[in-house]
Amino acid sequence: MGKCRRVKLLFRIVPVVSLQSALIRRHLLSCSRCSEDAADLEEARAAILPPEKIGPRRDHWPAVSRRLDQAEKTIPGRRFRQAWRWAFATAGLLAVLAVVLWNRFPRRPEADPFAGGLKLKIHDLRVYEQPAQAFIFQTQDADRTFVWVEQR
Amino acid sequence: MDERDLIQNCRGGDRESCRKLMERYSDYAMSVAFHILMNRQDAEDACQDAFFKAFHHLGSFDPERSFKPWFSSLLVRQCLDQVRKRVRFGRFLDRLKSDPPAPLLSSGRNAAEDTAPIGDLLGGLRPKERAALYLWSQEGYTGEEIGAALNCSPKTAHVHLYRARVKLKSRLKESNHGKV
Repeated sequence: MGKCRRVKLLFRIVPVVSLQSALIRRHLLSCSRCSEDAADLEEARAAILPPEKIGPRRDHWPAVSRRLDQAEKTIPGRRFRQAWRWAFATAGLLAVLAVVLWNRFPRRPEADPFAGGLKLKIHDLRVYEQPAQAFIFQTQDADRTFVWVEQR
Repeated sequence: MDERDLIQNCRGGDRESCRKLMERYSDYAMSVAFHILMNRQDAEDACQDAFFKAFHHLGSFDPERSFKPWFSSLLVRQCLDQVRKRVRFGRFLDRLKSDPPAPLLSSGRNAAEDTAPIGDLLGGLRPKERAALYLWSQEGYTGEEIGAALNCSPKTAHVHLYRARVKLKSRLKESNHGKV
């Protein structure tokens, strides 16, 4: 294996073609692995047809040129669509999701001040036409509440 | 004109340079495609698609590198795509009717006429094996280069190449026995 590599390296370094051939020939005689590789290569090359045997080929240029023209015309719109396609798709998906969630979960009613058990609420308090301050005491008895009013 | 200049002109939108560049590689492309697809009509289609893609995406090509390996990998992938499409279409036809699918030749020619010269030897090989064999024997590609063209690892490329060589050898043996 190492010898094969050395020969390949030498093959690249040696500038004279006749020397290269002699080197390869000598190595092939002594190395069964490389001679097998060379035989395989010959067989593969024999199985491949040369271009002239494949036959006349079609001229692709008119079709390719036409397709290039078409592509050039559609490029700006297509590029824009490609760039924004994912953004639009994600935005649409999020919008649908938001609508579904909005309809699925009913909105909370506005907080009711009496909902927590508060029995009394004083908005505006005056004593002898003067603003006053109220203190509400809720007793442990649920039916009894004391209200203390003070002039400010 | 030098190939690098041609490519530079093509990138600048010069259609005449594109045509010249295409002319240079047409025979090569047809040969590669024909040996992978084993069908002239499909090979022609693959060549056209590969050239179109090459010119369309020439902006992504590094002009400091050689054009041939870049184009080769594009062409080989195009051919393999074509094979996949052909298989899918074959399955579709299979479902459509119980008879085996007809050979997919859009021209009026028969299959034997289109594939006969290489059908015997390379017919038993899979498309990727044929591609690996072609690139190795005709272009002197290494495992790494074949892997890049086939879009697989160098090890996998070596496996494809090894299988191709073994199959080809056995086919040759069979044909020699047949002659004796």
